[in-house]
Amino acid sequence: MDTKHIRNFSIIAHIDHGKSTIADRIIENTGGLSKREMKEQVLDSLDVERKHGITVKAQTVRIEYTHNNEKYYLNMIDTPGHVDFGYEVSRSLSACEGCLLVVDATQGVEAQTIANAYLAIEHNLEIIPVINKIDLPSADIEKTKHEIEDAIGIDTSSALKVSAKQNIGIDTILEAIVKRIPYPKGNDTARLKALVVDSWYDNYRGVVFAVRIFEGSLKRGDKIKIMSNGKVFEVEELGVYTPKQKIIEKLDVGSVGYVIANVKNIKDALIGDTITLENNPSEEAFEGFKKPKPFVYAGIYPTDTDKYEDLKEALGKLQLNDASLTIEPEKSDSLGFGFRCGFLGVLSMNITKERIEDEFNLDVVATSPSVVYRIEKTNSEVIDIYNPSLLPEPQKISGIYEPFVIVEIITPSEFVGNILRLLQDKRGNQKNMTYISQDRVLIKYSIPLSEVITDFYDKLKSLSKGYASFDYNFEGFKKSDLTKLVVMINSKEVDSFSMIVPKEKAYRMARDVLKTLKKYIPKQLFEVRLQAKINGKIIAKEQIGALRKDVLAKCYGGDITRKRKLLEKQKKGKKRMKQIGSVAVSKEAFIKLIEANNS
Amino acid sequence: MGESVYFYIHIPYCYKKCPYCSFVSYEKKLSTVSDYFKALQNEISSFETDKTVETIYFGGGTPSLVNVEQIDKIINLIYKKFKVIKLPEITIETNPVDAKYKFLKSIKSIGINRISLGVQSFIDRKLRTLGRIHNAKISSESIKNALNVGFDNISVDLIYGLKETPSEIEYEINSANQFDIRHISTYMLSVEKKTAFYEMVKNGKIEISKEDEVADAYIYIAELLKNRGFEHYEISNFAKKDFESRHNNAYWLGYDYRGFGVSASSFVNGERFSNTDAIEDYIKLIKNKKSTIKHRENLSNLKSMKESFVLLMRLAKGVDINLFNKKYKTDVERVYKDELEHFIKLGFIKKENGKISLNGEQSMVVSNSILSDFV
Repeated sequence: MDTKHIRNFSIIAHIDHGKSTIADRIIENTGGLSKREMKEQVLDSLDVERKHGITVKAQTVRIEYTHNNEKYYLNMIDTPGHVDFGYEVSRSLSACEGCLLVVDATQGVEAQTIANAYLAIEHNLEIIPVINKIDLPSADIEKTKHEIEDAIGIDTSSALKVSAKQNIGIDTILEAIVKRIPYPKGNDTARLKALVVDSWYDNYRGVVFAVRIFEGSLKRGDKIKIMSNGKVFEVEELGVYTPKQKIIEKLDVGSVGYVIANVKNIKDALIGDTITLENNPSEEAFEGFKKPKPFVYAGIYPTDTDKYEDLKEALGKLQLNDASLTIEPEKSDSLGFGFRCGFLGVLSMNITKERIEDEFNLDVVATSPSVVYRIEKTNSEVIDIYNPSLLPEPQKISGIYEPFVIVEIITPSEFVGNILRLLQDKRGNQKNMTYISQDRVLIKYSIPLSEVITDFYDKLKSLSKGYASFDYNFEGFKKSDLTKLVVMINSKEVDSFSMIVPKEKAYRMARDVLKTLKKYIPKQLFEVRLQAKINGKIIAKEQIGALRKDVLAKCYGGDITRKRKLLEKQKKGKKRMKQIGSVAVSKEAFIKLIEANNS
Repeated sequence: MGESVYFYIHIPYCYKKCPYCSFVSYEKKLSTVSDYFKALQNEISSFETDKTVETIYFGGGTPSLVNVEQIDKIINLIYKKFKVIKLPEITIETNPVDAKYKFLKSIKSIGINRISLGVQSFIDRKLRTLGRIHNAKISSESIKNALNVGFDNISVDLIYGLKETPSEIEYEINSANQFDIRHISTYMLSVEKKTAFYEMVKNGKIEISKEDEVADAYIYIAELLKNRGFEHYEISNFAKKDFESRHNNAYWLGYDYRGFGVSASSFVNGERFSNTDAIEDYIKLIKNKKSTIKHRENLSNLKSMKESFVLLMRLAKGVDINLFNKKYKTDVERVYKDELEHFIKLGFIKKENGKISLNGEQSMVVSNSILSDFV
């Protein structure tokens, strides 16, 4: 098919504005799947999502659509919907010529709408505004249009008004895709240049990756070269999803499809990488390729120290499907052998931890997440540290830099006061504040990433009764006034509880952290003293009295079994504790500490 | 002691269920008494053993509220069917209100030689809170009567945990000790879910001692009793010399015991089993010649070794290393190397004269936290 009959597009939207419903309707209305199959398909993908968490991102789907008696292939390229995945979204968008910008008519423009729309503008995409949920009584189409114009600056005179739920206006979307989105340019006979827009690990086939062909074409048996590392693989299978998997012999210029080429390591087919042919390579790769870079680090340790090897194996398996997950063995005085893991964000961290526990049946402890700190030493050496306990002695430090992000928040104006206070408390600097409509405000702040990765989102939601939305983008490293907060249990430093904190908040945080620990360290047979210090000076103390009574007095009529079972239950409970020296610490302490930190 | 067996007979009836009691007992099913005793006799008759019966223990419920003839029939049956040692210990738990001269006389005449009085307290405030049907005066009189009838092996149950002051605790101990009794069991009030007490405590109608207060009381009671010539031989039991409960010791020492009646537990030839909890089911099953056993458990060697260790540790004399190693063909100090090191270092376990034991009351009162590492 010539490129004039191909369209490549994405759907971008804030969460819950109806992106997937619109996608489903498009597939259903063009006959990609029957209603019954649709249901199965949806169920299937839910199952997969549940099983694989975030790593299975919706694939690319090729839709056949006939307009004015001409057949078109519309390639829908999905984008992940969480703020941790800004880079992946940008790669998906760069594979398209246009996009649908879906906005919920009852909610209006939200932070992710703006972030995604800006990305689309950056990539020179034709943006088709789609106002969804027009059937709902609270829909306000005019207000939504104004917000799109004011906040994003795009013309909405030809915005489409649809209700995906009621199947209203889906045909106008399909028509607009053909009429308004430019067809892909490119030369079928040029040297192959294809962009990896997604990749995932299949247990049977190895790495599968979705590509968009910008120049040239690709067929089965071709030897392809990964441009970032020069590795060569032979194409075993090519295909498209309609959304049923369909094997084809050749991917033409302008089209989108999947490739299987006996790639075993997902790092050899990273999103954003360029694929070309070994024997006739393209001269240059696509711009903007970045190796996935973790922003959040945490130590993961087996609760039972004997399970180190099992944990190693589990993390290795998870890495197959998560190119951003980094793993470094580390040893903690308090927790023994484990791994310092890097994640795209806190969501990925939590999912990884859950998967280790659910899929591999391993009990693990995760330390408080931290960001990367860049340390300028007095000998002018610069080092990055991924573990707060490794911060050099204060006299060797001339400056500590931490990553900052730009957060964009959209909120009804009545909550602005609350939110600005929160942002100030999170050490933010105001960049901009504008009304995008009479009663909605867009707030832009520069704030340390460390303040965002803990409870920021929860706080924002509760301060705005759930109405505020937010998105963030990496800004860069900036110097901050930070110090190491050290926690001691019975006078012994516990490295896994160390954290790097802003000096201005150190006292408050020290008190909160000890209070939390006190709550989650059960009484022991001896007194437990908790202390927090900065720069060698104790700034907070707590004490946990010794356990006084824990005895089964009566054993009635020789019911030994019940007695033994009670003790066995107690033993099991102890096993779920993490032993730090001679003190048993409830695993919740580690989780709750994450919440106390930064509160 | 493979040749001995210890019998327990459960009598599940009460005048009035105590609001703190979570054991199997019925206050309103007295109509089933004669059927129940028939069933009991059947269960006893169908048990086969050539071991010698060392003790018979009638527990409840309130065994003293049933007709003495019923108890007599059981004792006779046991003598008829089994070998019984020359001087068995035959105990009956008795509610102080039943401990009248006539009743005591008749139970003595049928061969019962040990009486365990459910005195609980000598303080009216406590007895009322506990919902007992007797008062402090009856508590004292029941002991007097038992002595007058000629019982020389009297045990008294005392309960604490109801905000007693130290002088109240001393009063309880002195009230018991003014009589020539040989055994005292002291129980911390434990508030179990599904009891009336649980609700009352939750709703603030009753105030119970806090953890620290109970622990202090435990230690204080032990001190008072030891000063008065009692030996603290088991976590909650005290006895004058030679008057430890032979029956209860069988539980800790791992001897065979057989419990008859509803909900009764047994340990015979290495197997633990227990009867159904429902009295109607128990009677019906026996009538239909079906098994009354609801739970059965065969422990692996390792598990029964561990269980035995934990049970022995409840005794003040603890675990005799040589005997234990011989019995379980093991090296107990190696099996528990880390645990023993840890608790000996903390001072909660001591090892002396070839014995491993809890290190005094400070340790007994937190024994769960210690022993749960050994199961």
